[in-house]
Amino acid sequence: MPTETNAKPQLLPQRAEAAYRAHYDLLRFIVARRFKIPADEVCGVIHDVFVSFIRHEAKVAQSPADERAWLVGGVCNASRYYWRKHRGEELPADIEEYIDPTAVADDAIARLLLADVLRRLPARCRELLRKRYSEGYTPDEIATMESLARGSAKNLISKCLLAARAAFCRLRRTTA
Amino acid sequence: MSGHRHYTTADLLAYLDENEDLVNVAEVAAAIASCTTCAVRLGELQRFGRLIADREVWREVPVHTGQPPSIMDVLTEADRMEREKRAAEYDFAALIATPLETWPRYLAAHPSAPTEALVRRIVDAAVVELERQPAYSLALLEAADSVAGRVSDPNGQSDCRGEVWKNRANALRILGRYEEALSATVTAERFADEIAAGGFMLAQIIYTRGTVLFKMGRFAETIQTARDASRRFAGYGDVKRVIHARNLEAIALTEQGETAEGLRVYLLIAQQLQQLDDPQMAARVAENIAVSHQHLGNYVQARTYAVTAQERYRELGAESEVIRAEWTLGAIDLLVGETEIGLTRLRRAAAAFEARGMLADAGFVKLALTEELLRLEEWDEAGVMAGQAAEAFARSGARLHLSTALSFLREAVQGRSATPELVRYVREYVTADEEGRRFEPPSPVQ
Repeated sequence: MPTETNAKPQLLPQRAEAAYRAHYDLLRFIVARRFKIPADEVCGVIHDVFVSFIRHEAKVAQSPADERAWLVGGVCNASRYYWRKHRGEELPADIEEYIDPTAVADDAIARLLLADVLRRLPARCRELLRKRYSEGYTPDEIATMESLARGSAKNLISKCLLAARAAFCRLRRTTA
Repeated sequence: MSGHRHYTTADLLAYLDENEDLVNVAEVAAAIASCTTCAVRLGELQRFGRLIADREVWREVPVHTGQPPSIMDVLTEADRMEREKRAAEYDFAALIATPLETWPRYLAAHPSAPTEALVRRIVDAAVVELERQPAYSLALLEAADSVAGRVSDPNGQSDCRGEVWKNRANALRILGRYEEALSATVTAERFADEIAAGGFMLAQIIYTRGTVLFKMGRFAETIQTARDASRRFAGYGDVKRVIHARNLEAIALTEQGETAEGLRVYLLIAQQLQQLDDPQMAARVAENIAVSHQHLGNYVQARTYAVTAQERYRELGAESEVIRAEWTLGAIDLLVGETEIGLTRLRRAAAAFEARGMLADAGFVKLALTEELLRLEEWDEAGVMAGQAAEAFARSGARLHLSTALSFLREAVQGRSATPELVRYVREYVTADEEGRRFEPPSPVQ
């Protein structure tokens, strides 16, 4: 009879380990941002999906695209389960029952790349874009806030947007 | 192409931002309306605009990405599963060498044996036996369920029991115990619902339910269930299982009389199969397309697909399916009036089934031969064939009510009062195989 060991676990099975490293950010983004699961519960949801992945590994097709799709489907499903458990059958309005995991993944990856681009922009540029596009201030309001001439604020925002767009396209090409 | 200079990204972004200092907004708007290239690029930039306006993207900016956090819980689970897997091999080897009745004694003497891994090992063994020895497979699954009840991790227990009950449904379906099979899928679903990541298993359970409903002849429900399963599999990007579910949908559509719609689904599946490595399914779909064309009277296409199916089955070494395709080809020959070739094919198929011990299948082919011989008014030969069909069914272990029906047919043929309609009725009665159903054949020819 094999003996039990109390040694601390070190590694996930090889395939799960590789999948975890490759897709963790994507899965975290989907759980946290698309399904709006509270931050301290995100890891738990991903955990459940990876345990299930290890259990049903043989049924998941081997190609990286299939594997990613399965994991994305898994976290979407586990996120819905989370909300059913916490809100009964009533899910947040924008959570759909059936999804296309490839489209969900592509969409999430685009958003992650853009967040990465914005993170790397010069702080002043990033703040101008945040005010304009995330917080919805007009160029005039931004000019007042930043003590800029009206025309300069507009032009500066346009330049920052152009720089962000160019960096986003570059990054997309390199990660494609 | 309007002949204008295409706008740059900077121009188009300035246009979207209505920045009159950089571009003449009205002029750009007019130019874009007449230039497809600029309109397409503007569309891309509008999508980018929506991304940059997304608050979730901005919430992500301060998040530090890179090395994912170590999830100790997953590591612990993975480690436990691996350890249990090794121990399960040992316990399974000991259990499988003894009669099932003695298993409780072994498990009582080895309190650490009932683990998730042991349940999965028993389920694997049961799945291998499903088609060959369904009753034994069911017994193994019952044993697996009692082991599963003692698995300490609640998630692991639900996962295992969901798997066990899904396969119980399969075994019960093969055994013809459809009501019990249906109820097994409900139990399986209850277990899958208890697991946070049970969606994939749930999709498989729903598919299994579809196969049971199909066997019960509840085709409308089969179609709905198969569609539900296929949408769920699509949610996991599992194209192979989507195709299997859609194939079930198409079969049910055909059985319900919606042959053209069934054919449309089969043709869609066939297209998707070109991207996949699933030769078994490719062969089955080709065969189903052949049968659909046959029902629709498109005999040329029917024959082409039946030949393709037969070639594919031959490559796979699936002999019984090669014979089945021969049967389909024979039926098509008869329909197009190539009677001698058709009869030869059917005789060849019946003999091949008999040689492989597939007596019920041989019986069905002989019923088809009887029907055709009656149509040709070859009464003596039809009588012999009806007798052979009855004998084949009897040797295959057909129950009394079926033997009665087949004897009735044989006597009707010998008494020259049988009709092709009577043969069709008997075939349908034998196919349904419902004990207790009254045998009410159409009135014989006076």
